[in-house]
Amino acid sequence: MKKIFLGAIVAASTFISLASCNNSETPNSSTSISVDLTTNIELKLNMAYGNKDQTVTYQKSNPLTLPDNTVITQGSLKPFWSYLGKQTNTTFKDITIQSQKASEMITTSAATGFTDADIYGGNSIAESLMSYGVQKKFANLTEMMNQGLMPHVKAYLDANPSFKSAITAYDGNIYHLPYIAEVGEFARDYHMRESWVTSLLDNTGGKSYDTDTTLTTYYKGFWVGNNARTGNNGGTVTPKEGVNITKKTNQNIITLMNALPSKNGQALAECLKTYIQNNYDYTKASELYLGEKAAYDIDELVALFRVIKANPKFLTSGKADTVWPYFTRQSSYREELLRFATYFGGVRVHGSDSYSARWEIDANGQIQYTYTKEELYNILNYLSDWNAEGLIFTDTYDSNNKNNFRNQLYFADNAENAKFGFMTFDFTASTTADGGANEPARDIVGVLPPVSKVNGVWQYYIDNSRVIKPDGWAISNQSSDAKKQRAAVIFDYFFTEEGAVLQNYGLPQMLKTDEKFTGPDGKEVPAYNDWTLQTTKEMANGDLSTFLRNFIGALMPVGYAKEIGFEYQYTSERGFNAWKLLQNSTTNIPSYAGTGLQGDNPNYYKLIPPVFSLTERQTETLQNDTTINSDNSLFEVIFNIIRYKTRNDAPASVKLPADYNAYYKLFQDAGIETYISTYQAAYQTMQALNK
Amino acid sequence: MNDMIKMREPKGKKILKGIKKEWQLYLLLIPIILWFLFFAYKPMIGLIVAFERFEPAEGIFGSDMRGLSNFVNIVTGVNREAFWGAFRNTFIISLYGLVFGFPIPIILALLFSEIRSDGYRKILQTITYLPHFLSEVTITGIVITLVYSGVSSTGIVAQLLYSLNLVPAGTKIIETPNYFRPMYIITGIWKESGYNSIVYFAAIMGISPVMYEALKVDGGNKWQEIRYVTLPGMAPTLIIMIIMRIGRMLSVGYERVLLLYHPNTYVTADVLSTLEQRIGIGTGSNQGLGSAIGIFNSVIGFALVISANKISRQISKTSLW
Repeated sequence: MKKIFLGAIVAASTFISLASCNNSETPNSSTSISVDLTTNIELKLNMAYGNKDQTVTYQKSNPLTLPDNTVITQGSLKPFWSYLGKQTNTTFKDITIQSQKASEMITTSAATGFTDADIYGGNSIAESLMSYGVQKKFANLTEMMNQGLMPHVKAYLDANPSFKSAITAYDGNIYHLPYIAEVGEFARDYHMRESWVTSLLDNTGGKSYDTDTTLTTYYKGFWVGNNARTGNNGGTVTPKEGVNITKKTNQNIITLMNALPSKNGQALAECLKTYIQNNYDYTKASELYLGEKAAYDIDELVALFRVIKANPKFLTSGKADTVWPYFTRQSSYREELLRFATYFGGVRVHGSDSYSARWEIDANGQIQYTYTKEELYNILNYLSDWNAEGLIFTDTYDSNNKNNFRNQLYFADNAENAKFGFMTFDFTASTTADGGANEPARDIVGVLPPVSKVNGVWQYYIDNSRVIKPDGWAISNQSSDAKKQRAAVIFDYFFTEEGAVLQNYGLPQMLKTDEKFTGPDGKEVPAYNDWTLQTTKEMANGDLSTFLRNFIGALMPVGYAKEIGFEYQYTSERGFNAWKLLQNSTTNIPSYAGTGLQGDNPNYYKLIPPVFSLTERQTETLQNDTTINSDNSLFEVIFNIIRYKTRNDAPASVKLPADYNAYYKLFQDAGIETYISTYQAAYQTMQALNK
Repeated sequence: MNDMIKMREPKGKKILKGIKKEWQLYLLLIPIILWFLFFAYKPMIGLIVAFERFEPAEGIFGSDMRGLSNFVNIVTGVNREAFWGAFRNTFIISLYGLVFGFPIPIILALLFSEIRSDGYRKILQTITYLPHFLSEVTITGIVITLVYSGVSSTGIVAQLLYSLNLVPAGTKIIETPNYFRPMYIITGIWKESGYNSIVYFAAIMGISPVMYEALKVDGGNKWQEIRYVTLPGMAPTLIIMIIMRIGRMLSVGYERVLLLYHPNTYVTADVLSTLEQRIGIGTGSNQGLGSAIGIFNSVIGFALVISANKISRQISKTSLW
């Protein structure tokens, strides 16, 4: 019988090298354990994402015909998984309850002792995978790697020790492989309607501003009084190497606007234009916000928001009476509002990409809870002022509203009763996407973030980057050794070059064989063929990410390192410009290594781990002595402050703390001190393991 | 005397004889007994979870016992405020349901019984029964749409309430604690009163026409017919229904609350079953605590139904057992 050994494959294949890894060293095949791939093995998959379209089974009612004429119909495995099965001589059987949430799947599978499948995966379950791993319910991947299995995973983790420590449980072992999303890259970015800025600020008198919309102002400014932005306090900033922008006076635009006798569209616009003229040496006033020389601070941004709010007819040619200066994509993304905290003197809110990562690392290397900081409470009050002025789209807070506001406020200008939004914080490729043939030309562009004193140093900083996600997969310890070894082969495959290309770009038949695509960073990546681009347009409105995940079965949040190359290939020219703008600027983002301009806190730029490995006792403490994780009304309070505090119009009985002490007491009653000390202990253990 | 004793059949034998004689009836009973065994009694094994630090992977019998600590925790621990709040809301919502929801089906049944045209009555009955057959998800979806208020749209009921100055314009009804209970009760009346009227309508139909004729002969008018014939004739049904209702007092429509409430309305909306769900299977779940809340709920419900039955037996001589 012909035997195929993975070790031999590893040694013989010239194409296998490390994928997406800083270390290009090929793993030593002599240490690899031999895995017999000649026998077909069935692996049961239980991979839940709370969305039937995102499982390994094809769920679309319209069949998909691949370039090789294979027809994929509803209920069959997605082609990625069939292809993977052929490559590894494995039969995959999907036993997932298709729409089940991953957290529910883990709980129900735990009740069966994880005997119903061989591989478990899902989103936001890494903490459970770690926890059950320590209880020996999942295979010990560290042990498997020490035995010589998963050589490419081992090499990847050895080359990226910060990733390794982020997924290591408190007992020193790894039990799951996470979804590593383009770590080190920019994630979300600020976007604006370019034509609104230029028409308002570069208007030389051809068009009349609105005079019938008057604002009532509440916000009093942040860079005011002793904190005025001038001289050493942000007087000169550097958006790009070799480009210095100097603010000439200590004027504050908010103070100037608040002093205006009439705050209509015309008065506010003229005030801002005069202010820019008096303070900066730009050729055009719009340059304060747009392009590589942008140097606006948070007060100057609010000033622009006010001008926009007061000029709805000017901006929409009379189509709308109201426009919304700022919005988030959905109400479930409302925490994005809190990211403005960075620009109020560098207050950190989220220590990672996830909204539930409410931690930062202090100068002593200890994690601290961010939502109970007095600085954050003060920022909520500033945001409340903005809200009272009508600067934030009010449906943003409304968790009952499931609409996609980005579609409504950016991409539906021709609709009857169209609504218009100006700025959002979101992913570049999808936000700057071109519209259809019948739409007006879109003019959404990426912009530099507001400049601020961050970590004691004036700089450009976005407190958001691509990170290791709390999503991933693990192997059941109840499976037979043969199945566990085969699962390990699958896990390892995505860390080979071939497997990484398959995950990141899809099937070989979807790619051009003789051509590469060059990204804005100059890197060459596999290029999609016409079939892929055309079918994506037909079946997924041109969204390659959706097509790859929901139709092909690639890009699922399982253990692999995601690359950005596929995203480049459905990005508009404006999107590329946005990437170039950021990449060529001095803008910094947080990272696991935590590099940045030295300031008050050497750990300021560090990301916190995607999950914490808690002992059973720590888990029990959190469950019995705190309600931080189970009481979502606590976090609603944050948005109640923004919505109601300044206007003082909260409905009766709605929780609205009168001051910081009352705010803190809500957390105290929910057991915040125990919560913090428990997580601090877990973090210390994780740190100790890495020493 | 001895002969007489000999003649008395042992009880067990008597039962067996009865079964043999009416075996067809007992055969029909078997599925019901099995249903109760598997779906009502077997799950009770899970009650052990309330006394454990339950670990799903270890199972019910493998998890560590914790005695009454889960009960102590919900009553005096970090969850106490939420627990007592939910406890209070459960009673208040049930009481409102009893006061406002219980009489409506009776009134409807009385009105139906007065309609002389069979066709017209059947149409009206069908219309009022219809919402019962819609799922809670559909019903609450309709309600949320009707009272929704936002930049994108404003529901027709919200618009009406604003224009009548019953609710301040722009108020988010769904997120305002004071509006939750009325919204919940009205939704319940709309959904269930038609269907619940069936049993009362049947009771009315069961009253002998002779009684009405006698009252007419005595010169009674329509109100007196209702007062002296219909309502006394319905009394046993009413009492049975009210006892059953009291027994379910702590089991308020869990799904409807879950679908209609909002973190801002927990103060008036959160009931024991929703709290049990959040703590037991929500984020950071603790099944032991959740089960303890469930047991608490059931024990009080049990005590209430026993009390109501006893009071009813003493006052009206009518009872469930």
